[in-house]
Amino acid sequence: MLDPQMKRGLLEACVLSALAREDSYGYKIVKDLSVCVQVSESTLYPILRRLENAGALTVYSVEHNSRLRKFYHLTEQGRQQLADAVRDWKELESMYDFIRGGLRS
Amino acid sequence: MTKADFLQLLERALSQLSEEERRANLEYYSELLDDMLEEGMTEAEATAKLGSPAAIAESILQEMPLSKLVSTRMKPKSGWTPLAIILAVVGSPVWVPLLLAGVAVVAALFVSIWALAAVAVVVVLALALAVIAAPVLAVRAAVLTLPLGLLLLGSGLVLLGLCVLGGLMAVELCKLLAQLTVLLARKIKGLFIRKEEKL
Repeated sequence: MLDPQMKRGLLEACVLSALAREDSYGYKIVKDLSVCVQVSESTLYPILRRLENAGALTVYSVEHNSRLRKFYHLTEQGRQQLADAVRDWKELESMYDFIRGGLRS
Repeated sequence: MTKADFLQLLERALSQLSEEERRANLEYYSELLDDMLEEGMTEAEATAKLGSPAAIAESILQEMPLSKLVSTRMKPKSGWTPLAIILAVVGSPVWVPLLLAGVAVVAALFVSIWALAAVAVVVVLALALAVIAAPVLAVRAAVLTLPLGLLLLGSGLVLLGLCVLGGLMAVELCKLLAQLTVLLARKIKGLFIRKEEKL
């Protein structure tokens, strides 16, 4: 079981990464993420809100089948946050290597 | 469950959020349901996939920072509109005396509670005075006649007993009255604070 705090950070990075490829909307993000993690629709929304409040993404509406669909767009700041997450991961990776090393010996 | 039912239940469960916050959440779930329907799901399948509105509302409220939750909850439903201010001013001959009367009633209640306590204390003090006075009188009377002196001494002892008993009772009474005051104060405060709603 992943630490909730850690999982939250990772999910945020997943959403950033999904939006780095192209602007997307709620349901599509859930489906795109499903290849790596099962995230429920109700889990996704607070993450989107948090990222929006932090300035990592902006929201705009597009008319689709005579209704509005909200698209999320990654800002420059969001891109930077994604780069930071990848850098952090490198640090985590070396820690993991060390942890695994203890198990082998 | 139909889409309309789902959204209605969710809206009701989010009633304590601010209007803006509630609408944003409802729009998100409405859009999700539309996307699922477009994909060919039935309304029942789509709502089932999202889970129960009550559980979703619960998680939304959990995510909400406490400060924001408290501020939205404390905010009065409608602010002071110009109409409300005019009504308050025009209606002041009615509500000001009513308010004063209300305050007076509460004050009278507190005063009468504590008057009871004061009476108890005074009675005990009077008894104590009698206890001190009785032996003095008894000695002076004994010089005249012994039976009278003994009678006064006896009554002095009876008064001492009454004084101790009365003192204990007065302390208990004061404690009880203090509790009553606190209870009353809390009840009055409760009139002004909206009861905490069950999440």
